Amino acid sequence: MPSTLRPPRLRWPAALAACLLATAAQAGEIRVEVRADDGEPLADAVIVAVPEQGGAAAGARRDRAVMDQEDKEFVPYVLPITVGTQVDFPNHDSIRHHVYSFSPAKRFELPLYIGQPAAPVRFDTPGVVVLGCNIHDWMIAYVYVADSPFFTRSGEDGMATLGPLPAGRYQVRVWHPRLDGAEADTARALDVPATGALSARWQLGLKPDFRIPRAPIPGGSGY
Amino acid sequence: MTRAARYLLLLAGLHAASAPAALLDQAGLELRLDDNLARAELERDITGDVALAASAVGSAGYQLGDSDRLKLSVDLSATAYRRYVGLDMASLRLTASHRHKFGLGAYAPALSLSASVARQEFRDSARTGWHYELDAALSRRISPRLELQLGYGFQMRRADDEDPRVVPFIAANVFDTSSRHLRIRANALITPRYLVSAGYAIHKGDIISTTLRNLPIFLASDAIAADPTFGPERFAYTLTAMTHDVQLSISRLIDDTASMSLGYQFIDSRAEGGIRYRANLVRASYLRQF
Repeated sequence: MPSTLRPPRLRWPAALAACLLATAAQAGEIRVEVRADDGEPLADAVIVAVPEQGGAAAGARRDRAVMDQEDKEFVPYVLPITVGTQVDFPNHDSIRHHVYSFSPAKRFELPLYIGQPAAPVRFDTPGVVVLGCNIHDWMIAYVYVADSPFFTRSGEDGMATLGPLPAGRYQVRVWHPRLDGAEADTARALDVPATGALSARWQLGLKPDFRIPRAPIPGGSGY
Repeated sequence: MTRAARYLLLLAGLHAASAPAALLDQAGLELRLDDNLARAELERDITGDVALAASAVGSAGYQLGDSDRLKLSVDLSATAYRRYVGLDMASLRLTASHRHKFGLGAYAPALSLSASVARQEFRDSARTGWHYELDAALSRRISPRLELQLGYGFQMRRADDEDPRVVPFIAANVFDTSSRHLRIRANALITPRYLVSAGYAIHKGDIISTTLRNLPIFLASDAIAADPTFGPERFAYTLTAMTHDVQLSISRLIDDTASMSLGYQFIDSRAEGGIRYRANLVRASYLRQF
């Protein structure tokens, strides 16, 4: 099976909006393969397509998405959304979490809670929002706020399908938490056909995956 | 309000802030090589051994507020020596620790205060007794790769029994000791899976050195008792010393729950009267969080 069309936790998949936009025209899709520089499939890459002719304004809808907390980890690791999306942060652990972000695209804080917070968090500015938990320092996740309704995320096999997309020319770019370099440098122009699929492949240079360790280490004693 | 009512109120408050207690929170195995187990100065007295230690920790955490966390833990451990079996030991330690974070986020500095009491049962009962520790540690993460710690600790041991006096007018409670220390430590990821820890501590207080009869040590000692754990005609001396303690280890982070480590520790103790001992310890350990 190829990749998922959209991250599974999106309640209002952007694809629905894309379908609505495409009702008056035929639609194609882009089948994307993302690999690391060593050739291995790369999961959690966000692929965004921006129509060169405009007409697909992001933020016009009221999408909802979910960033869960399970076993003291955020799930998913990368959540792509479009501008204007409201994200719920349910805590399914039996302990409290304290979610925060210092990212310029969205600074917010959900002080200690368990279960469902009172209100979702709305993301109004495009960019990458890094999430943390003030109680469990190793917890980290990313909300990618796209400036287009056309986006997807690669699966474990590095594959993703972007579409259906109205026919036309798009600027397509790829982002990953470990991307070594600027996201803009990954952009390329692709012509989406009226029907059928277009294949595209990215091979990304990656930075090492340094994360705050969760595993216990010895403290040392013996004096 | 009665004392019982206040206690119930405290319990109710803690329960409201509690995480469920984990019967088994962490378990570990350690193989330890110590080349100067007796902490002796002279070649004739220096003797090493290998020990295997196993530990299991259960804990309950209480998030008291956005910045404060209380953790209560029970640590059950056992150590077995290959040669000096009199040092085989079982320990049950109760620890209460409080952590306060000065700000929001993973890079905010944190202060941890802890107090613990342990019951230590040795095969040779002369060492059996209670061990108390108080500790304060300030930690600050600089980046995902680097964390720095500064700590100060006090520890005290009290043996159940005092051995018969070897020398009149000189105490025989050699296993009643206390000391304090100041330490620094850095943990650094050198790759996403390998973490190097380097630490230095300076201890001031009592040390126990076991030797054959030794006049300089005798003159410098605060207490003396026979120590058959290391053989006949061996005596344990309590000395006041300054100890430099250097540690270096590398850990392989197997996954998010477990690590394997190889560590080296160098101990250099200088006691009153010009007495000095050195020891080298090598540890191989496995730790798993549940």
